Amino acid sequence: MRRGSLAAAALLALHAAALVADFVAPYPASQQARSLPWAPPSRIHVRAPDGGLARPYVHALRELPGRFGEYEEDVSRRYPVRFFVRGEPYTWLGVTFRTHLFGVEPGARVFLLGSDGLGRDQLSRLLLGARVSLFAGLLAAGLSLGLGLVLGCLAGYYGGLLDGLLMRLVELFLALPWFYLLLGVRAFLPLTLEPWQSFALLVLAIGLLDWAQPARLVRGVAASARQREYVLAARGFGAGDAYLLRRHVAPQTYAVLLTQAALSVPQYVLAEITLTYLGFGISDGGASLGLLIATLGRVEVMREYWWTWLPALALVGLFFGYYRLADALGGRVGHVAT
Amino acid sequence: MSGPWLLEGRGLARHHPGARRRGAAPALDGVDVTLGEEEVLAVLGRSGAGKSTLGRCLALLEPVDSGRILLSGQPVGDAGDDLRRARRAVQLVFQDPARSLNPRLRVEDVVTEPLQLAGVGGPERRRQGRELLARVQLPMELAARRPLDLSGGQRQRLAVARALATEPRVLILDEATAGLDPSMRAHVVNLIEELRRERRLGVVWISHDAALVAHLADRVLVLDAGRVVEHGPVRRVLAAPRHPVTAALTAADAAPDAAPDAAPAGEPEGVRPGTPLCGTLVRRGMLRSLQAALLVFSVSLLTFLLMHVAPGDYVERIRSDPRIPAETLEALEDRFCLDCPFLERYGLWLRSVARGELGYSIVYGPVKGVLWERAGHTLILTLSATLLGWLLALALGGAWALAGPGSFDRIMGGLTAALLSVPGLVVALLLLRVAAAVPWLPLGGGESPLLLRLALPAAAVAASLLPALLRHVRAALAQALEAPFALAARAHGVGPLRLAFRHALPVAANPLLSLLGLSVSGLLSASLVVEVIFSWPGLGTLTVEAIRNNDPHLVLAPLLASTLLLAAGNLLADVLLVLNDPRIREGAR
Repeated sequence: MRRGSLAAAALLALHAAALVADFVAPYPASQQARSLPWAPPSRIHVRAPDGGLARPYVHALRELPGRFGEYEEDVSRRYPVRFFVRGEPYTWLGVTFRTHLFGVEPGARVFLLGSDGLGRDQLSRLLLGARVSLFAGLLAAGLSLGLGLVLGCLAGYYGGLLDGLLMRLVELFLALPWFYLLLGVRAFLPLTLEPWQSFALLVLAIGLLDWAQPARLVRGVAASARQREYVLAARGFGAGDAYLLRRHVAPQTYAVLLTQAALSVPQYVLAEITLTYLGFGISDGGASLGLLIATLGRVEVMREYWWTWLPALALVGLFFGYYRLADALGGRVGHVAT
Repeated sequence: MSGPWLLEGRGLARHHPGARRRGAAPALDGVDVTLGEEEVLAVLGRSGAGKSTLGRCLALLEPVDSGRILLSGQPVGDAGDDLRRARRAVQLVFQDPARSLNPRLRVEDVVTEPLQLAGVGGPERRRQGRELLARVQLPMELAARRPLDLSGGQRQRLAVARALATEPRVLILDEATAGLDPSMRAHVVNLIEELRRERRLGVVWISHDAALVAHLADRVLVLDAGRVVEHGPVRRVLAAPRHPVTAALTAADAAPDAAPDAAPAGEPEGVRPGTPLCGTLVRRGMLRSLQAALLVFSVSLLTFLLMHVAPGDYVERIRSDPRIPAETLEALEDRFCLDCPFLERYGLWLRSVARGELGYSIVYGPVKGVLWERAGHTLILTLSATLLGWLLALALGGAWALAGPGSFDRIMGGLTAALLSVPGLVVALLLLRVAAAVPWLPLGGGESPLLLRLALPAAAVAASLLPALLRHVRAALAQALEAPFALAARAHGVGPLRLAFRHALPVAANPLLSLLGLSVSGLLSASLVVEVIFSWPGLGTLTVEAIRNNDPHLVLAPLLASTLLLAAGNLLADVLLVLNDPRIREGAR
């Protein structure tokens, strides 16, 4: 098996799950079960009370009298975990569905990763939040790498004054304390933004601030591609600049760009998480990985409810996958600008 | 010969870009060259005589500084469609086909590319492509392969097929058989001969091999140092050379390229004279300061512009904020004229910066007091984290590099890969959890001793730096440890520690010092998050507080202070780089 194919497959599965998160998640991200705050991950029973094997089931939870956030199982009734169940409606690509991958009948709830202080299912929030955060990261990476590709190719191919000017600009952008700048950009916008506004802001700000590193990488490759004899040969049979750039120079840079993308996407996902953690990103009405980390961020929460760490663990897994991929693509992970 | 020449160059001169400034000799210096239909002209010369430059100029791929090139008696335009049309009439085949064929394209696409550019449609293009491949005797099975799958001779035939696709009148072969073994060479030479007769091509053979061209050429032109030193029918010139270079070339057949390649005359190579230390430092310092000033200026301008154009009136937001006392608002309006045009407000703020007051905060009054105090805290945090991170990286990375392959190497590799995947934010939260479990560690702020308060935040920032640093240190040290001087030291019996730190580290230091400069930006971002998590009273918490309080000048100030810190960090890395260069150190003595 080729190096990194495992990481690529795992990442693909993860992104696919995030893409159809409404279906995989048993509940909507913001659906609250007010009677079940801080419920621990549901115990899935596979043994019937008589000791024989049974279809997996859960019990409903009952709050212990006078003890906030502590529960016991109501063993009087079993709620089997069923697949392809009817649940809350959701809209996907303009069509409304009601089928969820799994769930239990009303009366009990299945919280595979536990619930938060409002009784929201952490797994559902993780999946639906990952969709927003990953999409933001991918889009921002597309923007910054696209900008880097265009400017880097122009600088590397034409050289001369244009190259000089663009590279000075690159040095300037590389020397920016960019997270402070991101906060500075955020500061003058209204404190609470609609989720889609925060999303757009995040993508635009990161994409427009962070093009310098990819541009520098691309420029190096383009400058050396320009000198290749096959580029000269193509010029010899009448190729113009636009054709040479498109057909011979730009494709040389894709390997570098792909590696850079595998490094950039997790960085940008982290930027969303950090902004949201600080309270300037996506607000609590929406869903995002940052909101889950913000939940974890309070000392009493992280101390009392261990399952709030699970989203952080998922995040580490995501990053690990991306870095393995980058490692396999170019062996340049050490170049993550710490 | 009657009528115009097929290809003619008159008084061609060419300097390589930048060479004129260095006072180097021109690559071509007034060369006249002519080529008739179906004629073979050989261009002979030693390495560096200007043969390849002549070939590229004749193929119209390099501009000439002076002189004219005529195709069938018509002068060639020097730009646009004219030039492109003319280029298709003269095709160049390069010495190394591995480099002149794009490795990413399929063989079939390589040969049809010129047809595609000429606008030949899909099916017709494929048909002609196959014909061309067949003409150079390349089997059809190869059409879907890539150039790197081909042998050297096949590649060169592919390059010839591609050159034929434009239906050229002239073929220029620049050492086109130099890299091939004798049987392949004969194959390509015969192919060119057939093509010349069949298509009435004019052929220019560029070579340093007099024996080869003796069989092929009608006329020969000998170049030396960019000038034509001999020119005439091939039999006459090679049999009775008049110029020493020609004589050397014909005599050197047995050992090609050995004798003729005298070292080019020029200034003797030597160690650059030492640059004065102070001068270098001052120059670097001025450059960095200039850069910092430019950054501060553009960042502040950008931020003001944002304040101005951001949706939702920011000034209105300040005015309607019930937390802001009326007299503070008045003072702010008074000094900074919140309703004035954008440039005027920016000017007022600049003046306040020039006075050293750095703007006016709603909460703190003049920004300068609180800013420098907070910047100091950030400096303490980032400096101690940098120190901690680098010490750990040097110790662990040194051990890792010295250990070589083995289980320790695998463990460290896995550990750094895992650590790299834990975002700094999560590391900081984990450490916060540790603080919550350990009674004598403060959760942040408070009255505990500085060292205790500093321990966890510094560890959190250092942990986010460590994995990448560790990889770099190991890579740089491992490379230096493999260098011959390190092997020699090992042979002399130098111990591992001395080997790593006395011998290898100074050599490995340069890339690491550059890394120090590059990582400052990431360091500041990491410390911002850590400050907020541990309530460390630095620039990060100040920024967050300022945004929450709608305090415009206080948002700006930490941004500028962090820019300055960044510039200072880069300057420090520069200075260390200069100090680590022994030649510059020597110069100072």
